[in-house]
Amino acid sequence: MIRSQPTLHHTISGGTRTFPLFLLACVLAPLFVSAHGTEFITARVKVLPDQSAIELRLGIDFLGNPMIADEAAARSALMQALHIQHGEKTSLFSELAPLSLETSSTWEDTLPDSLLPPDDGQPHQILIGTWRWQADAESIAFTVARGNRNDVLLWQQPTQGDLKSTLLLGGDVSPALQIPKKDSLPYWPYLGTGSFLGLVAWLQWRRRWKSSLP
Amino acid sequence: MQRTTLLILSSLAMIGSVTAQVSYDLVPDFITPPPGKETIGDGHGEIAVDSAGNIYVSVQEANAGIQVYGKDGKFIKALPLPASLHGFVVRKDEGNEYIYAAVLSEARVIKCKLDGTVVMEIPTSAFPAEQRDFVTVAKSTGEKDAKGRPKTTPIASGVKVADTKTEVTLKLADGSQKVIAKEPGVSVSGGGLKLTNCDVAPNGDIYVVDGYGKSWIFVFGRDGTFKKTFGGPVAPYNFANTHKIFIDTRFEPARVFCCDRGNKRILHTDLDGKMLGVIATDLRNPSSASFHGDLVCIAEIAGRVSVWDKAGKMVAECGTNPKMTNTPGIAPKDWQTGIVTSPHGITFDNDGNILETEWNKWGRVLRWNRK
Repeated sequence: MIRSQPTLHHTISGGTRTFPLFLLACVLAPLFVSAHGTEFITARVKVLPDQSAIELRLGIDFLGNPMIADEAAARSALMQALHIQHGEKTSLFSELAPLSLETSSTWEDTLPDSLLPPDDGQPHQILIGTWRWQADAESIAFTVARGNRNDVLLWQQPTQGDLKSTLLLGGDVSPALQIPKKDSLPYWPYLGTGSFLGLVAWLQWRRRWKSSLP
Repeated sequence: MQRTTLLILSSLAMIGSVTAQVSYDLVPDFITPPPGKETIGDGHGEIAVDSAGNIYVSVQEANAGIQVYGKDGKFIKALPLPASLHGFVVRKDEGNEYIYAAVLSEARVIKCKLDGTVVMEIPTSAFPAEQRDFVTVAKSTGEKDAKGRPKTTPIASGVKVADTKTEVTLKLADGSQKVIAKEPGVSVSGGGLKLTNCDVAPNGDIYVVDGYGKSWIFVFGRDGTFKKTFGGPVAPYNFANTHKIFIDTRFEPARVFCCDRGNKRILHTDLDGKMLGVIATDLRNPSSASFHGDLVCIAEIAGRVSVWDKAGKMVAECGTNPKMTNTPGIAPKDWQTGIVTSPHGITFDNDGNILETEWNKWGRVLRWNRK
């Protein structure tokens, strides 16, 4: 048995170094999934900056999907879908925070409208998972474990600009995702103002103290 | 003397076992689309070459499902065939060349002359009921999702054994039967067959794969009579989205070459369905293949064309996309010369050059000539 250049998948990943390329590729090549293109897990990524948190909405079809036999297989696939690289660690995402599951006959918001497959007249049942995690690193990346046969389509809709998406196969690592520090920004003005007022007060006190000297 | 002879023989054997690296040159803009069109049209199919060198490409166009191009890439004609010829091959049978095609949306197989005249059909009814009649019964919940789409919930899935105006009877996986009343909101849908490709063995037997279903492989005689089923999601195969299969005539006896896309691997079975072994793993979702001499080229839908020798060693790759793909939505303005988007069909021509067609709403064909 021969493995085909296992490093290939990794050469396209690599975090921040490849991020500009990723952005360019996303602008040039938005994904549109149609027809059978729903064999993979879809995952909407949302960064919640006010909480330093990240939210995933994952979906997988378990009724019209040649990769998934039934709901139990779908549940297992979602639980094992992604690992998170955070700091020096790599953790299974569903071990970092609970994944809540529900089923739906539609894709709900696990796929944007532009990626929705057309109605093929076949029944579908989507297992949807919602996951929210308080990130413990300023930068994280998603990865699909080598050997995991369920590809993951990660997508993110920025407030402004085009949809960003990338397909991860087993062994692939996503571009790095920056997580803003929780409420870090609002403290700066207070700290700055406080420091300034303190300095003024100290200068005033020093002036008075000097002028009081004989 | 004997030692010298042995040395020479073993050296020759070693040389024989090493396939020289092969390389290919891109031929940009090879295909000239039909008159009045800027691209060939919605592609989700296959490409093949006949013995005269003409090129056949399937597109999702009603009653014009295959386009024929000359050796020079210039459009000749469209054949009046169904729009969903997801997989097809051009093969000789008793001296004549035919197109054998899986019609995905109609769950049937057709054999036709090179002018598109259908001479034989394997209808849906010829497939075994256990796979053909697998359905899901669902019921409307009366709710709608946030976007106003009605929600349903499944009641049961199984093989439909009876269907009247008032009720449907399913045979469930555990062997029991379940009778479901056809109340308002109850729907029965989803035939079990989602046929994605077929090929023909040297004895004329036709092999068909249910690649968007449960990856069963069905064998029919030359006349379309059902013979047997193997493969599927069960051991020892454990197939998943086995997208296309081909008869690998590089070997004697011929083998079944399976593009087991969901497992990202290619493997061989013998013509009776016995597992022979995995050839390669960790591919970028192998979707189609073609043979020439000792080589096989593989269309990997997540963004690569690769070429392998008979020993299972990759000897070349073409058009590798630096980004994982698997989408039909990359518009012509975003195509990059020589970089594949989502390879879906592939063939060698008679001289060992590679032609690849993509899963792409506008339709795309790339060509690489062997150096």
